[in-house]
Amino acid sequence: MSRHAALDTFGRSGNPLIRSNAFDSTATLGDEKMTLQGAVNKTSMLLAMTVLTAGLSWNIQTPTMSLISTLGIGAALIAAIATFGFYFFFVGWILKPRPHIAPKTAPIYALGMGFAVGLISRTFEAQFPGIVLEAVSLTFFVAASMLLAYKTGIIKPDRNFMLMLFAATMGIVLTYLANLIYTLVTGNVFFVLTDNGWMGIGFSLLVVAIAALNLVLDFDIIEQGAERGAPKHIEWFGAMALVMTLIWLYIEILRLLAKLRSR
Amino acid sequence: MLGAASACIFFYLLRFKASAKQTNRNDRIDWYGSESKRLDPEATAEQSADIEKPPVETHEPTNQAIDRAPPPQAIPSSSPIQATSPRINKWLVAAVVILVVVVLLSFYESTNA
Repeated sequence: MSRHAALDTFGRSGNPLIRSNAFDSTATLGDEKMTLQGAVNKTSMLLAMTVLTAGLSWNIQTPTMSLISTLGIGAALIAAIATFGFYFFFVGWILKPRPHIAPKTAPIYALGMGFAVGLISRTFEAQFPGIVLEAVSLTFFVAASMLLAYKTGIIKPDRNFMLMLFAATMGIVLTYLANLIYTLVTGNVFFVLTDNGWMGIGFSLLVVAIAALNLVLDFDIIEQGAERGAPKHIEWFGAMALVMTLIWLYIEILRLLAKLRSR
Repeated sequence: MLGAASACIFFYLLRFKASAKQTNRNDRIDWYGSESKRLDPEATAEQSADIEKPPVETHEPTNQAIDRAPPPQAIPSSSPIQATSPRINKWLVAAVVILVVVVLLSFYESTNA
């Protein structure tokens, strides 16, 4: 294959996450195009679903609900992996992203993660009354601030920004994964994750900052999709990505606030 | 009230299009690469202008099977990709599934405790 053909096929970057045709597998110029309003509506719908199941798992505390929550979270994880794919270092995509299934998987994800959000929130609220409301307010405040910074062009995401953010996010994912294995083996957790000293708070602040910056990429996916007339299913894909990041940001803010309160 | 107000502000801002300062940049992440190429053929021409032109290759009519072959799949450039076999991927998928099950079981136990 000539150099020209290779560039044509794979794009200029070898990194799979920044290849120009990240969503090209099913992107066609169909009749129905994505709109900004459509993505906003779908984000609202998904968040409403999350709040609904979060409310259920918060209020109903029975073994049946615990089982339903566990199954719901499992379904949410599967839905997320099926839509966004699974990338492994040095191996590549084990499962490729499939944005076209987002209209089906996004509601499953939102409903399933709602159970997790409800249970986590209830646990924190029992220890620190009023913390959930603070965390929700702060989450939307941070999201609104990031959105404003993105819309006005204060934050301009480019490929380097994306690469750095991806590396940082992967670092956090690996830290949590290592902590999980460590917990399963020893029964303890990493000091930095639970410490309420400056080190633990600093780590939490860093994670919150990275989660907040991930929102910028979600905004960019939605904005650019609407601008370029992407297929309708990208509305669900963008909304799902946004809800996913918002849930992550909320949980991290919750942890940060808990650390600050327990000092 | 504060939470509701923050959410309202967020969704209100989400409806607006980004400023020209944000959208009219050359270094934007091209999420929908081929889509934009199809929509904007001039951009494609500009992009391919600085690519070295390959020598012209001629295909004999007898090579129809090669011509009909599907285009190569886009794969990441990670170095050991050639060595990656479907078997390895299956093992990794199995490992991920086991991990998810273990997490769910521990989660279930902790919620029941």
